Amino acid sequence: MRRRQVLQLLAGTILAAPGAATAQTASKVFRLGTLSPGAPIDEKSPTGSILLKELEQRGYTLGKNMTLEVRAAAGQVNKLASLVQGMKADQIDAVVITGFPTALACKVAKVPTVVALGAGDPVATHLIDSLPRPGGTITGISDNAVTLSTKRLDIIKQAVPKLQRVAMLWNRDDLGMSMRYESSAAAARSLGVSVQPLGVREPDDFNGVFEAMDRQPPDAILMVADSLTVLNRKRVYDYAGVHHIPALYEYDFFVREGGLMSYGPDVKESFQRAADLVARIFGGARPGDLPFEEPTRYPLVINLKTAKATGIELPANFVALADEVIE
Amino acid sequence: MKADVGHSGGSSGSADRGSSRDSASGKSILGSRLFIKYVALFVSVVVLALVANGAFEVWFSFQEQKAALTNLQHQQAEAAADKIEEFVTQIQSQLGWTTQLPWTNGTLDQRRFDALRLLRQVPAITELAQIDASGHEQLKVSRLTMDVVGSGIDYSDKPEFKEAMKNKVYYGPVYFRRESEPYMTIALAGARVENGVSIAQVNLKLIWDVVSGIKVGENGHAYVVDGDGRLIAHPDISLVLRNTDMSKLAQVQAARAGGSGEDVQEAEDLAGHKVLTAHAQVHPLGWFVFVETPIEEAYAPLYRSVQRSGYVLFGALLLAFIAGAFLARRMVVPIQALRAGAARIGAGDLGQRIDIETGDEVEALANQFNEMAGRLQESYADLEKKVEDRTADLTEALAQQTATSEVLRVISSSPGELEPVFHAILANATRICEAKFGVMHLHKDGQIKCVAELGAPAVFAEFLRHVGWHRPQAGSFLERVLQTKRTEGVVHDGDEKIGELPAPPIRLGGARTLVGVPMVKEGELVGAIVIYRQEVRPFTEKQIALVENFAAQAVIAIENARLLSELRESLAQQTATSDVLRVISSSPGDLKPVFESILDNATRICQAEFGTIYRYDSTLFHMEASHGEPTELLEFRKQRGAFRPPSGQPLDRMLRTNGVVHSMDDAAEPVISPAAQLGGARSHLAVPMFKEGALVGAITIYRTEVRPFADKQIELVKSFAAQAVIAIENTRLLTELRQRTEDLTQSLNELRTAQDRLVQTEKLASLGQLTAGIAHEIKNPLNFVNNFSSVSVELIDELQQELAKVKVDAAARAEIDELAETLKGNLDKIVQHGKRADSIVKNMLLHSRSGSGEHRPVDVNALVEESLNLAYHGARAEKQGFNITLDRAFDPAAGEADLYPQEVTRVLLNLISNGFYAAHKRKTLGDGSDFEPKLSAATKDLGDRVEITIRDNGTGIPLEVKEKMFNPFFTTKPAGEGTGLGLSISHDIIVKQHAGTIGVDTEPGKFTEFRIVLPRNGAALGNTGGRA
Repeated sequence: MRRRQVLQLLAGTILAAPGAATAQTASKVFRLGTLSPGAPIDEKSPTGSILLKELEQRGYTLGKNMTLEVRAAAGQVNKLASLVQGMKADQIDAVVITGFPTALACKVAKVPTVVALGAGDPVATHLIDSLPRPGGTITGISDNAVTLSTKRLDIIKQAVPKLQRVAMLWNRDDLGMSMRYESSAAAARSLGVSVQPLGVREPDDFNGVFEAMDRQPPDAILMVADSLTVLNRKRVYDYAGVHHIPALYEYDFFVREGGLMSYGPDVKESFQRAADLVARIFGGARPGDLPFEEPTRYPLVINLKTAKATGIELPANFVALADEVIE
Repeated sequence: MKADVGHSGGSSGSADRGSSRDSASGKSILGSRLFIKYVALFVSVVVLALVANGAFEVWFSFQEQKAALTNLQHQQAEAAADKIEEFVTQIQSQLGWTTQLPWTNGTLDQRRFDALRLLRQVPAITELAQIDASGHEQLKVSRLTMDVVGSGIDYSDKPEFKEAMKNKVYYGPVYFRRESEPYMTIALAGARVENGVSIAQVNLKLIWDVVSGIKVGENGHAYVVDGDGRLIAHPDISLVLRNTDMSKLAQVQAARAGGSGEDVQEAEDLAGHKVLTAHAQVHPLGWFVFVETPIEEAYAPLYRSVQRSGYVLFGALLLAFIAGAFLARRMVVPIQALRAGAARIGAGDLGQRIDIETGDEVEALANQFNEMAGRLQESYADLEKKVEDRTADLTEALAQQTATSEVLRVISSSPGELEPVFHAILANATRICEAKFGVMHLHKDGQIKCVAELGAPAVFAEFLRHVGWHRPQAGSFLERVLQTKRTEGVVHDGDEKIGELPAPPIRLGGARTLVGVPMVKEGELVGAIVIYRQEVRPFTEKQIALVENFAAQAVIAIENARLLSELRESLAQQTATSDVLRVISSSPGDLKPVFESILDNATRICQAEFGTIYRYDSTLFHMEASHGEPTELLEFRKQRGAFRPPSGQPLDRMLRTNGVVHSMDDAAEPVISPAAQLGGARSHLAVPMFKEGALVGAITIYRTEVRPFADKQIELVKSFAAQAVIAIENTRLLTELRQRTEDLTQSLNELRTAQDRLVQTEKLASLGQLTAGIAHEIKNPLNFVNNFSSVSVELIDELQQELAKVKVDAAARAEIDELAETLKGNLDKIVQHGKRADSIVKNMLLHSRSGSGEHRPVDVNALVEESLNLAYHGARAEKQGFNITLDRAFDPAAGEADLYPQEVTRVLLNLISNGFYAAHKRKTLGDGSDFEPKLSAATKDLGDRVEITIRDNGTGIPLEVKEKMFNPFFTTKPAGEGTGLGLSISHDIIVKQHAGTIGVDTEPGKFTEFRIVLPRNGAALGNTGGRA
C-alpha cells in the first residue's frame, strides 16, 4: 500500500540523519622513524619513551595506528646518509632525529624531519631559511648551543670558583661542535680561564684524551654531546670520578646516569615538543610550514650522589640555584 | 450492518450527504473521499500543534543556548585574562625582590644571587638586567649567556628605565625574538629611587599553558592577542611563532575598538570557519583573551533538540493517523451503507430497504430513503402501462415511415426508372394496408393503362396486361376516381354490382374492399393507385393517407423521370454540338474531319442509320463525306461523282423549296431515290446549308425504318448545317490569308534585297567617281608623253637630215645612223605603249562613269576583248607575278547588239575576274603538277541573240554554293576580297536590264563556265528603270 511506503520513507529519513553524521573515516597507520647518530632512540630509551608517550596522548599509539622504525649510526656518522635513504625507501611519514649531521643527511634526502635535540642553531648552519618559516622538509627544536656553551663555562666557574683550566671534549668532525668549541674558547678567555681542547674523531681517540688530561689535569671538564662523546660517556664519568674532576654535561640524562652536572635545554620538553610537531606532520602539515621552536627551560641539574661518591665539594650557593638536585 | 455514530456533529452530517451524492459507485472505505478528508484534518491539526510547539521550543532554546555559551566563554575568557594578569603580576612581584636593595658595592654578589634565584623561580624570565639609579646597567643575568657584571650600558634614555622610574612599573610592547618567539619587557623600579630598576625579558610562550588549559566543548579554544592585534598565545603554537596578525578578524577589531565584548558573537576564525566568540581584556597590558567555539559544535545540542522534535512529530503523526483512521471509519461505514442502499434504489431495485441502526440522523435518513423507495414503486407501475400504449403507436408510425422512406430511397436510387419505383410503392402500400394486391394505372387523355401490379391473381393480371390503354367502364369505380380526382373507397358485401357485370377486379380478382387514390400533378390527372382486399374490411384513415402519400411520391418520380430524360437528350445534343465545334477549331482549313464529325454526330443523335454531306457549286452537288452508308450505295455515289439531282429526288426538292425536306417513308415517294433503292432508306431528312442566302451544300440522313425525325432532331441537323457553313467559310478565309501572307513575305524579301543592293551600289558609285577623277588626271600627262614622243620622232628625222649635211667619215656616219634609228625605235615604243595606256585609262573612264549611260549598238567581240584586257591588266596590277593563258574564240558573226556597254562590261569584268581568281586559286592550292591556269572567252551568233561564254579551269563551284551564288552578298572569297554583290548584280543586269539569261555550268575541281545570252535588242526590252 502506498501510504505505508511513504511513512516508511519518512521514518527512514529521520532516522538516517544522525547515522550519516557518525560516518567513520578509514584509519591510516602512520610510520614514525627515529634516527640517532649514536645510540638508538627506541621505546626503551628515555627520550624515545617520552616521544611515544606524548604521541599516544595525541592519538598515535604504537602498534595500533603507528609503527616505529628505529635507526642509529652508533657513532659512524658516514653511515647516516644511507640510513636516511633506507627510511625514505620505507616511506616514513616523519623522522625524529638528534644531532646536526643527522639533520644534514635528512635535509639532503628531503625526508620529513623533526629535530628534537642537538642540531645547534639551524639558521646559522643553513639547515633552514628562518625560524618562523623553515622551508624544506625540516622543523624541530632549535638549540642555542653556541651561546649556551659560554653559559656553561659561566656555570662551571660558579661551581668551581678557583677554575683555571677547563678541558673541552668534542668531536672534531662535527661542524656544530666545532662552532661551540670556538665560542666557548672565546668566552673562557673573558673569564680568565684557559680551555684545554680535546677533540676526538673516533672512539680510540678517548685514550689519548685521558692521557692528555693525565698529563695536564684540568680543573673541570666540559663535555660537548655528540654521537661519539655520548657513546663514550661512561668512560668520561669514570675518569672524572676517579680524578675528582667536576664535569658539566649538556643534558640532564647524563646526570641521571652518573654525571655530575648538566645545563641545557630540557630534554623532556624538547621531545614533547618534537612529538607535537610529529603529530602535526601526521595530521598533514608540511614540516617547512611549522616554525622552529626554541626551548623555554634550561634546567641546571646536579647529582649530589655523584658529588658525594667522587668527593667533589660544590658551593652551597651554587647547589641552591639548581633546578633539580639528585640525592 | 450495524453501526453507531452517536457523536457525529452537524458538520460531519453535511459531509455525509455530499459523500453519498457524489459517489454512486462502490468504493473501499480507505479510498473514500470522506475518509481521506477526515483523517487528513485530524492529522493536520495534530501536526500543526506539534510543529508550532517544536518551532517555539527550538527558537527559544537556540537563544538560550547561544546566550549560555557566550556567557560561559566570556567567563572563561575573563578567567584566562585574570590568570594572565596574575602571571604578569607574579613576575612583577618577584621582580620586586630584586629592587629592594640600594646599589652599593657590597651588594653585587647578593644581587647576582638574587637574580639567579629569580631566574630559577620564574621560568618565564629569560634575562634580567639591573640598572642603577643613574640609568647604567650594573648586572645582567641570562639563561643563555654568561652573566655580565658592571657593563655600564646606559639605559637612562630608554623607555623601560624612564617609564619605570616614573610609573614604578613598565610593560614593554610584545616583540618577537628572532622574528619568532614572543617576548615582552617588564621593568620595575625599586621602592626608593636609589634601588634602581630591574628589567626582565619575559618569554610569553609560558602563557601558552594558560591558554591551552582552556577547553570549551570539543574544539573550543582560547587565544591571546596584544593591543595591536598580534597573536601572543594560541593552542597552536606555530601560529604564534609565525607572528600571526589577527587584527583583520572582526571580533578582534571589535574588541580593539573598545566593545563591551557582547558586540560580536558570531564571527569567523583565521581559517574562515564560523565560530561563537567571547573575549575579555587583560587590563594592565591592553591584551585580549578570546574564547571561541566552532558554531557547529556550539549549536550541536540545538540540532539534537530539533532531531528529537522530529521524532516526536513523526510519532505523533503516526498516532494521529491511527486515531483519525479509527474515528473516520466509525463515521464512514454507516454512510457507505446508506450510499449503497441509495445506489440500489437508484438502479431500480425498489424493493430494497436500507438497514441502519445507529439511532441518529443517519438512521432517520435511511428510513426516509426507504419510504421514498416505496412511493416510487407505486408510481412506476402506472407509468409502465402508458409507455406500452405509446410504444404500439410509435411502432405503427415507424412502419409507415419506414415504408415511405423505402419508397423514397428507391426513387432516389433509380433515377429515370419508373418500374422499380412503382413496384416499391405497390409493395409498401399493400403491405402496410394489409391488402391482397394493388394495381397502378397511368392516365392519358381519358385513357388508362396498367403499368404495375403486385400480388394480383393470375387471371386479373392477365386481363390487365391484355387490356392495354383503355377507357374505364362508365360508372366503374376507376372512372369515379378519374372524374372526381379524389380518393374513393368501396366495400362490397359480395353481391353489389356495377352495371350488369361486377367490375373486373371483383370478378377476376375477388376483391371485396378497395381504395383508389388518384395521382394528380398540378390539377392534372396522371394516374391512380388501387389496392384491394379480398375480405370485407374497410381501410383505416391512416392507411388511406399513406396510399395518398405514395401517390404523391409516384407523381414526383414520374416527373423526375421525365425531366431526367429531357436533360439527357439535351446534354447529348450539346455534347454533339461542342464536339463538332471542337473539330472545327482543331482542324482549321481542313474540311474533311469537320464534315465527318458533323455527320457522325448527326446520325448518332438523330438515330439515323447513315448520312451524307454534299457541297453545291450552284450547278452540281459534290459528295464531301459519308457515314455508315451501305457499300453498294457508297460505290454508286462515288461512281456518280458530281451530279445534278434528278427531278423529284430529295435534293431536287430541296433546291426547289430552299428548305428542309423531311420524308416519312421513301418507299411511298413517287420517285424512288438511290438511298431507298440501294440503302433501304425509309425515312429521311435533307437539310440545306445556306451562306448569305445561297445554297452551298446539304446534309442528308436516313433511317431504314419508317420513323419520322423529331423537331428537335431537325433543329439539331440545321444547327450542324450552319456549323458546316461556318467551317467552309473558315477554310476559305484561311486559304486566302495564307496566300496573302506568302505574297507579303515575298515582297518583303525583295524589298530587303533591293535595299541591300542600293547600299552597295552607292558604295561602288562613289568608288567609280574616284576612279574617274584619277583616270582623268593620268590622261593629261599621258597626252604629253604621247605628243612629245611623236614630235621627237619627227625631230630625229630632221636631226638626221641636218647631220647628212655635215661631212663625216663613213664609220662615224654609220654609227650616227644606227644611234638615230635606235632612238627612233625607242620613241616608237613609247608612242605605242603610251597609246595603250591611253586606251586603258579611256576604258577605266568609260567603266567608271556613273549611271548606265545610254544603250547603243555595240560590237560584241570588241566589248569582250576590251573587258578581257581590262580584267587582265587589273589582275596583273593587283597581284605580282600573276599569269594566265587567255583563249579567245570570237565568232566573227557575233556582230552588234543593242545594250548598255558599261553594264555589260561590268558583268564580263566580274565573270572574268572570278575566273582568274578561281584558276589562280587552283594553282596556289595545286599539288605541284604542271597545272596551267587558263581562261577562254567565246562569242557565238544565235540569230536574234548573241551568246558570250567565259570558261575557266579553276576550282569550280560546289553544288550548295551554286544554288545561292546569285543571291546578293553571297561570296566564297575571304573577307575583304569580295563584296558578294558581283553575281547578284550581274544577274540583274543580264536578266532584268537586258532581258537575257545567265547560266552556269560547273564541275568542282575542274571548270566553271558562265553562259550569257543577250537578245540583240535586249536593252530596249529590258527594264531600264530596274537600275540606277
